[in-house]
Amino acid sequence: MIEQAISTSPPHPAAALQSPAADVMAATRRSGDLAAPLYIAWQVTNECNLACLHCIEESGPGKAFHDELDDTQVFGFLEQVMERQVPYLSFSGGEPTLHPKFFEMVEYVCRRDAQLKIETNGHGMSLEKAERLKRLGVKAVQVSLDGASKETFNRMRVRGDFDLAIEGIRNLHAAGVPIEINYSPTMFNVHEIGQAVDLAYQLGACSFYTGRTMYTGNAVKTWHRLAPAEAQYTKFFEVLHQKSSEYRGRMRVYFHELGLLEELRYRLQHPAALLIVLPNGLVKLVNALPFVCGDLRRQSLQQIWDNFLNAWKDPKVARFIEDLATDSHKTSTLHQWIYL
Amino acid sequence: MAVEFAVSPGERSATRPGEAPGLDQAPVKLVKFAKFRQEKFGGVLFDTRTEKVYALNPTAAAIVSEIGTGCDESGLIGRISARFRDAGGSIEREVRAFTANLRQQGLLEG
Repeated sequence: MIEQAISTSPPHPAAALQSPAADVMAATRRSGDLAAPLYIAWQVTNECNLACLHCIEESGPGKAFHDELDDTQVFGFLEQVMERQVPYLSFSGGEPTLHPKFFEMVEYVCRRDAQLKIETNGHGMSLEKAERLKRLGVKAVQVSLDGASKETFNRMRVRGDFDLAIEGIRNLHAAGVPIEINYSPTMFNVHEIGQAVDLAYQLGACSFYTGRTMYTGNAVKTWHRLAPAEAQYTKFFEVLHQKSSEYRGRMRVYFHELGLLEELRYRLQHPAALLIVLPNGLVKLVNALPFVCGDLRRQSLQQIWDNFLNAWKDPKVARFIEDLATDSHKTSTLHQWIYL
Repeated sequence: MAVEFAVSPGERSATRPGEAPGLDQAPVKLVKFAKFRQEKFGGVLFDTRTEKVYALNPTAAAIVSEIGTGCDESGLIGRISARFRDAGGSIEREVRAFTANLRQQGLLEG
């Protein structure tokens, strides 16, 4: 007998660990059953045209790592990814479109029939670029839109401009590229969540993602100006439940209410089949943890995948996560990498 | 959220000549967003649009693999029947039910 769709994994948190899409990947079989990752989230450069208050990667102008992968390493890695039949990748950053080989990388992936998502601030997304992405066949472009007004958006996105982001989204829509919107809540934009969801729909988005903002990266320095109060979060999630129902069948509204500790505890038991690749080729377990499980400059993708599966069982990982229960500020040191 | 197709292989262990029922000539094809990969346990089908992951046992993996080669539903049934012993004559019913489920999940065109 063939039994169909008989089990559904328990709901689990997603958004705050990485890009919202990234963590919804845990197959109901354990990741250890898989021969290769299902998803590679690649921060292709740490360079960015903006310097956002909450940026987990502390990206910004002049913030490219001095040792980012060179072209040979970039395309060598992509070839391994294609050979291992990894079906899904994302390019993020920093601002991925600033990578000098961005379009060549996109073409390389799409030509090999893998699915690719671009995570961008949308500021440089001209109609010409959007049409090029459409022609190349990207699966989606995710644009960060933290606010429904210029006032809140520009406050969050230092050097950024709400109007430019909107223009970029409109260009993507005009070109026919599927659009996803990502929203990071703060004390000063949290009240706009309903309007932001509505705006995303008006702009033609197919998905809207949000979750709790993490205490890491630039947010460590700006937390007193960023962190929403719990009462604000309560209202925020109430609105999201409402909007999720309102847009059902028209636009997917994804949000994750649990805090980071609960999410990491879940991930410890259910590692996603996902590798986080940094601009310099280091590979992290998950970007909310400081643990590095491989280096693309020295190891093959297969070796790193094997390391990844073992690394989740390292007692240091479980200890770090449990320590978060008493010291939530441990996430402030995520960029002090710990090699496993 | 991840959903699993738990598809048991039944007792099929040998092959027999395929008997294409010829009931449905409609082509079966995975949607662009559905990506299949063989695994030791069978395979995984990943809907990158919804980000659902389906774990497939060997029988289901065989079906999806055949779908990837391009065929209509009758041809698919014939090929799967040829690959697995169909002791109770249930292959056709099972393949049809499975493809119907794939359609319901939005994983097949049409």
